[in-house]
Amino acid sequence: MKKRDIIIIVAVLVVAAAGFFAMRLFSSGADYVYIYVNDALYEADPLNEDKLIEIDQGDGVVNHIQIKNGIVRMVDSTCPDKLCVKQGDLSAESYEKFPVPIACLPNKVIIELKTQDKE
Amino acid sequence: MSRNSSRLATQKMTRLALLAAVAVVLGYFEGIIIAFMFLPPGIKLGLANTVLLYSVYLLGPGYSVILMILKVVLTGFMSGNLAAAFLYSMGGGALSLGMMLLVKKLGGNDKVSIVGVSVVGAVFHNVGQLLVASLVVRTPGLMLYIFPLLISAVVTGVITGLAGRQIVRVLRLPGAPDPLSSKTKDPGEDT
Repeated sequence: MKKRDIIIIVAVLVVAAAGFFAMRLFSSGADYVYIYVNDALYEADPLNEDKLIEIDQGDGVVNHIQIKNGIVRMVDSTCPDKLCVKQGDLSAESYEKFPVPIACLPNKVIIELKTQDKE
Repeated sequence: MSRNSSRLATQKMTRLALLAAVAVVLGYFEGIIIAFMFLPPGIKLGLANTVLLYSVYLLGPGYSVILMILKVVLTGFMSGNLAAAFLYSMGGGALSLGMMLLVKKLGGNDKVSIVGVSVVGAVFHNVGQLLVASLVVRTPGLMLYIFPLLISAVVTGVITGLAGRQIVRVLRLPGAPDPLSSKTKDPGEDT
């Protein structure tokens, strides 16, 4: 390894660390589950009310999302890779530490946590 | 065209075919390995991408672009979900290859070694895939995945770079100078 290799590696790690720090700053107090299907808002539900949501887009494309005890998760999905199901639980606390949505790219279903829009 | 240069072209073409086959097999094995490693979703080792690293050193820019397209199309057919897989791996492959070629060109072998180029390739493979993914579903928030992926890209990039150092020496064209030496010119420049 050469000196510039080390510089490249350190630079990438610094960017990653700065990113983690910035993410913590910009996320807090999420209390609403926003579900987007095909780029459009499908529905928004309070995180503290238990609910089971079925999204049937026809052609056998179905997703089930569960909100229970302040935790939202993709229960099952008809997509081939099931990465959205493997992403597991999203809660206000976990979202504050690492604010990324649950995303099912094949079925185009996105679950985000946000503070409720005031409009 | 002299007899010597046509022999070189044939040798490069067979290396290209070999690397394309290796990419498909590595992509398949990566799927199996990930299933046993309990890695978080989205974390990839980028094993298949390492063939691009080898070709940057062995075959030069032109052949590397052909290899990247072959890899994207072949692994796309294997995954079943052709359209999505094609877009993601095209985004990752193109950006990754472009940045590896750029860093190798700018740095030269005397300043940046194959390990540094490998890390750059791993990082931008993830950046490219995430860019395409967030465009496809129009969710810029997906880009936040890049920060944990950066850390995994550094780790896997160093490992695949160290492995690549040995592999590139073994696979180099017969009679060619050591592609890793600081005195060796870019393999694309002599054809």
